[in-house]
Amino acid sequence: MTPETAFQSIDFIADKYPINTGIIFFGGEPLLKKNLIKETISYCESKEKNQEAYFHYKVTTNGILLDKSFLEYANSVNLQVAMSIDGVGKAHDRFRVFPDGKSTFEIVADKIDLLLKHQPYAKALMTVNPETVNHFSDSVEFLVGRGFKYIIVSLNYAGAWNDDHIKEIKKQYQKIAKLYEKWILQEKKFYFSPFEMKLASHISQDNMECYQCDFAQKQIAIAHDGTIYPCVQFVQDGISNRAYSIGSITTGIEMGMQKKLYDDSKEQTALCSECDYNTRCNNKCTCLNWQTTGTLNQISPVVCETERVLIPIVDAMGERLYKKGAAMFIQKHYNAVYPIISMIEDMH
Amino acid sequence: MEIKPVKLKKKPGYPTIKTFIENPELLSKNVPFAWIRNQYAATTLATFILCGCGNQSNAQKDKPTIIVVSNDIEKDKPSAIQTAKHDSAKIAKIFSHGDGSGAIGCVVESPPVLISEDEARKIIFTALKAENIDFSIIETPLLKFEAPPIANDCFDENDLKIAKKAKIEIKMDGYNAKYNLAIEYVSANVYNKFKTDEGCESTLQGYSTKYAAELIRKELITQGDLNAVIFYDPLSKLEFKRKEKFETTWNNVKKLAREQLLDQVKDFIEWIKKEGIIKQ
Repeated sequence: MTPETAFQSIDFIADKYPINTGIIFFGGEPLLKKNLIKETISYCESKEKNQEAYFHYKVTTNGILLDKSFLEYANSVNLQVAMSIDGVGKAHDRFRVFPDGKSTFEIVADKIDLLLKHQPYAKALMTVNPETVNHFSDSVEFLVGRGFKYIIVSLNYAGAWNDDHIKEIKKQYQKIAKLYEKWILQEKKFYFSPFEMKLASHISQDNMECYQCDFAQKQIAIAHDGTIYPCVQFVQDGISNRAYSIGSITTGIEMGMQKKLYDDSKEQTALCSECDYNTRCNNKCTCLNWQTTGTLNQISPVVCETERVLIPIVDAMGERLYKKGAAMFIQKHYNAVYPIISMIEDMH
Repeated sequence: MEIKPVKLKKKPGYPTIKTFIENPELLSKNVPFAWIRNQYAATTLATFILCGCGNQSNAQKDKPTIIVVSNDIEKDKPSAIQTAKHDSAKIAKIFSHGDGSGAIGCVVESPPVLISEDEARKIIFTALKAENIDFSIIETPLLKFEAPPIANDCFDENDLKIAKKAKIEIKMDGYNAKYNLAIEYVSANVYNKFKTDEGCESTLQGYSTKYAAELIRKELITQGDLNAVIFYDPLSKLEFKRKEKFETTWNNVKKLAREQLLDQVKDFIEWIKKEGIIKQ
């Protein structure tokens, strides 16, 4: 993306979404363009000075180019840095290698302390593939052990999952549930996205909708050439998936297309409608459906299988923790001001 | 792999947010140790509860309470409080450390230093945690019975004879489903449930926590549902000395009271091992 396109994008956002809009820099690897990030944020700040718009910022990096200087800059402008790291070396290096096949794990793992020193609440973004699922539990334990408080997991549903992998992921979730339970009872504070989301989906019930993105409405993505997509997953190379474009920064949002995509995404299949997990299921993640089935509203068998594995394990764990009266579990999931109290505790 | 709708036979065994909205005191009764140790976190929590996250009167009455949990992962233990009668239910004797009687107000010269329920739970559960016995304070048994009023600060013996029975309702302080074991601490507040002060305008307030503990114990034996132990506020008394600062006297007596309660718990731990309720 050129600086001009970046600035035009900010003008577009400031005009359409001026209130506390999140700007997320993604790639490829965004830290290859550190200066562009800085220039873009500087441009955003000029908008804020003129009271035209207000922003907050995030960047997702593979960590290779992360350094003290950039983190100091990030803190100075309140740019939250998230690191893509898949866990232990065997998991991480299965797919995250240099073009010559050399490991990136050691380099990235060495950056963890630096990142968490500057941003203690930085997120670890972890991808689990069929080929690495047997390291899932070890990887979660590794990342928590290294100090990450937020672990955001994505299963690579586009991978070649089979029945053996499903059995393995069940085993891994059960191991992680034991770890989760142990840590909660020790009053350790952490966030493990698959479990938190499923617990919240039962606890919050009707409000669960708030946790789900509104496709093509809230988290739109702008490609390098200024084309607007309904979600970051649809950008791909920025050129070949234009059928799903909902406009551009120069012409604005095509409202008809935006509404059509949104409506299509909300259509439920008959099988999902009669499932008791329907309201708690990832079947509403449109980009996930699209990636795995090519449609916006059809869940894939892999997603259905993994959800049917995950939810009962999380529910059994939630029940055990509740019946043990685990105070951290209760405060974390039932106290609306938990984040504030937790932060105050950390500050003192 | 296939898409297969799920039909659930039962709902998840942990509540929805609605339960906590309707019972805000559940939050103030389940406070992490780390927050209690951190005055800023504890104060913030208390403030939020008082400002609307909780029921105001309850929040004032029930100060944050400790719950002690073990680090062990237990497998599928019984989910609900066991309700069946247990012929072999074991009720510990009252472990005697401290008089468990005293009075405040009016002409009292040596008032007791009270141990609040919150503080008592901390002492009791911390000692038990060291033995790997953990307790829930959410699903605890509710003990209901009627008893003659055991005291009234105005009534004489004849009045007591004709006084109405007190309807006692005690939600016990802790419960371990694995051992079907319940714990109750008799504080001055619990003792007050046995009193009938109707028409009494004296400022004198007498307490017999040990005696109330005995009455609760008898009732538990009658009901026979639970293994149980009753602890009581030792009610250690202040004896003021001319050359000693009030704070020093108070702190010394408070320390003694805590030690006496802890001694009750230590006796109980010995007993529970001897009785084979838990493995040694």
